[in-house]
Order: sequence, then structure tokens, then C-alpha cells
Amino acid sequence: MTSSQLSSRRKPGRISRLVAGHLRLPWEVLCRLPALARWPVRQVMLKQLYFTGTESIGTIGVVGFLVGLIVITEINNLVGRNEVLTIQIMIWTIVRELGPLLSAIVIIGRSSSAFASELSSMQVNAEIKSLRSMAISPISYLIMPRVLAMTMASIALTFYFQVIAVGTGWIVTALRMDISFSNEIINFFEIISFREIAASLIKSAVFGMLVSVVSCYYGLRRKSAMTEVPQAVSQAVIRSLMAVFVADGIITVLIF
Amino acid sequence: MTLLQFKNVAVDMASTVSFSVEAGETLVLKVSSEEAKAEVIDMALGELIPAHGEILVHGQSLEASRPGNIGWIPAGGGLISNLKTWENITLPLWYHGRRQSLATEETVARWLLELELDKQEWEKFMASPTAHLKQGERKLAGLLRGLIQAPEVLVIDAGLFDEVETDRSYIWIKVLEKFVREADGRAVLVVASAATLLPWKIIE
Repeated sequence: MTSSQLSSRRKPGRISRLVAGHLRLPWEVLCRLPALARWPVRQVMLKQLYFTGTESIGTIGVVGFLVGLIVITEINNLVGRNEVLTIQIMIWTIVRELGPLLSAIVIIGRSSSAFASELSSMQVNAEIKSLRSMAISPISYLIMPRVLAMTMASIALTFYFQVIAVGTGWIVTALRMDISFSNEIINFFEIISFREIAASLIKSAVFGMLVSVVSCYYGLRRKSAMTEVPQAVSQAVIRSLMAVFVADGIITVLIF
Repeated sequence: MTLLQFKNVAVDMASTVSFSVEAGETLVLKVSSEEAKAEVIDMALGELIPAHGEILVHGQSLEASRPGNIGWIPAGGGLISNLKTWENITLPLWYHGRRQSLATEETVARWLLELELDKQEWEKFMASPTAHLKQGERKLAGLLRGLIQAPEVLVIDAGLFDEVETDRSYIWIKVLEKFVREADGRAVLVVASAATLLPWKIIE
């Protein structure tokens, strides 16, 4: 058997192990939800919620403002003084797509890398073994609160991003097209449908869960030296991005 | 009462280890290398399955034993890096909900007294994040956490005593002996890969 034959035989095994590992982690997280009754687990969740959610508010605010400004300027240039079409495109781009996607990208940049590097360092320094020796499940104590916190933060940050971006859009439109601000708000809520809000909510929750699971998976993978930590971080970031774009494609096709 | 037993367990690819730890004992297991030491500790904690031989806890297989029966103090203390010292030390009690806050504080204060630390010194030490601790303080915090966790068998990496002042080592030895004496069904097993000055029975 040639080496190429050998490697081609190994690949499916590696990929299936990778997929199984990613699928097993959310299942284990789900099974460990009752551990939330323990105070130290809630404490970890609150810390992570603060880190991923509260500390990202500034970045998300700036990105939301700039995206609102850029998108609405381009829409105005494209459709002219057509107010209804302007709001419709704003909903398509900002609420349905860019809100969940850009919030997820900011979360990946800040928290995915942080999760992976923190967990990898803990793995290398035998802190995870130390937890197990105290009969503390690393999934219950480290992973489950991170997954929950990132999922909740993703939903909240997406909503915040959309409010800032849409608000900026209203102001820019009102100034450029000389339209009453209150009319814009009324039109926006008349045009936006429940399906669009639900899709945005589903996307933000799925993205948050995916990013946290992928980051924790690469953070927890067995490592023997600190030199493996940057590799784990880079893999976590790249795979999180991939997972988010694939999930976005699937959800968009399924819902719209 | 035999708490932990290694029966012909293959270690370091070349040799086998057999020993038993009885309740009330403080033992030193001397193995041939650092790798063998890490393997023995991992096997006692259930992190590594031996290629050959059997490990029993209370006469039952290690998998069937209650988690947390075997505690571990690594050479560097094994603290969780993102917690403060106090949170690190009390983590096993908080997590398993075995103590109310006042009882936890009393337990910690009692062991601190046994370890002959003055109040000012340990108050500062408890509020520090793990990253700010000196090596000796990390070791001390790891020792405290092991004592507070109160497992049946406390496995200690002999490296814990490295670079610790002689006076302080002596106090730690006394405290560990007291830990074993003060309750039924407790033992301490120190795993070393080099000659040690610990005054306990050595198994080679």
C-alpha cells in the first residue's frame, strides 16, 4: 500500500473524529446544565458574560455605527428617495445578515481566541487534571458556563448592534432625504416581519453556541507543551469563522 | 484497611510497581524517573489506564470508586490560574456544597494556624490572584487546598517540598501527619523520583 493510499484511508477517520468531538461537546454541555445550581459554576458564567458581553459593548457600538452609516449611504445612493425600499434593504442587510454575522466576528476576535488560549494554558499547566482530582468536571465548571455565557452574549450583542446600526441608518436617512424621523420608525416596524426577527435571533444564538463550542474544543484538546497553544488559538479562530459562515448559509437558505 | 493498591502495574515501559496504602499511613513511593512519577500519579488519579496490572481503591477498580477519593497536590501547587488564592483553596468545598461560608472560613483558619502562618501574612496572600504569588506561596496554597479537600488518599508530588525552607518543610510534614491522624481512613502517598529527606517509610 502506498503512502498516498494510507493517508487517504486515514482522512475520513480524522474528520469523523473531529465532527464527533464537536458534536459530543454540546451534548455533554446540555447534560451538565444542572451544575448551574452550583455557585462556583454560576460565578464562572457571570465572569464570562461580563468578558464576552459587557466588555464588547464599545467595539460592537463603533462597528454598528459605522456599518449603519456605510450601508445606509450606499442604499441611498442606489435607490434614491424611495423610503420603503431603503428600509426594506436595511432590514435585509442589517437585521437579517450583518447584525448576527458581524457580532459573531467581533466575538470570535475577542473571546474565541481568549477561550482557546486560556483553556489550552490550563491544559498544559495540568490545571484541568487538578480540577478532575477535586471531582470537579471540567465540562461543568469550565465549558458549560462559557457556552451559555457566549450564547447569551451573542444574542444581546446582536440586538445591540442592530439597534445602533438601524438607529444610525434612520438618522442618516432623515438628514439626507429630509424625511421625518418618526415616520421612518413607524415604517420600519410596519415592514419588519416576525420571521426576520426570529431568524436574527436564531442566527445569533446558533453563532454564539458554535463559536463557544469550537473554541472550547480546540482549547481542551490534549496538548503537551506551551508551543501548541498558539496553534490551538489559530485553529479555534479559523474554524469558528468557518462554522459561522456555514451555519449562516444553512439558516438563510432554510428560513428565506 | 487498604485504601489504594497497585498490583503489578506496568510503569515507564520497563518495570512494574506493586504496593498498597493502608489507612493511617504516610508513605513515600520512590520511582526510577520523572516520567515514571508522572505515570504513577496519573494512574492513581485515573487519568491513565495501565497497560498491565490492576489499581484498586477499597478493593474495587479505580473506575468504580467515588470521584475525589484520591486527592492530588502537584509540585507547583496546581492552582487554577484565573482564580484568586482564596477561591482556589475553597473551590472543592464551594463546588461540592459541603460547607457554609462560616464553616469554610473556620476550616481554612484552622489549617493556617497549623501551618504556623501569621494572620497578616495570610490575609494578603488570600486576596492575591494566583499569578501574583511566589512559587512557595503557590505550593502552600496547593497544600492547603489538598488538606481542605480532605480526600481519603492524598497523593503528593515530592517536588512540592523542593526549594522550601527546612523549617517550613518540617511544619508541612507535621501538618500532613496530623491530617492522617485526625480522621479514620486517611493516608498520604508522596511520589518521588529522587532521594528525599521526608521522614516516612519509603517503598522502592
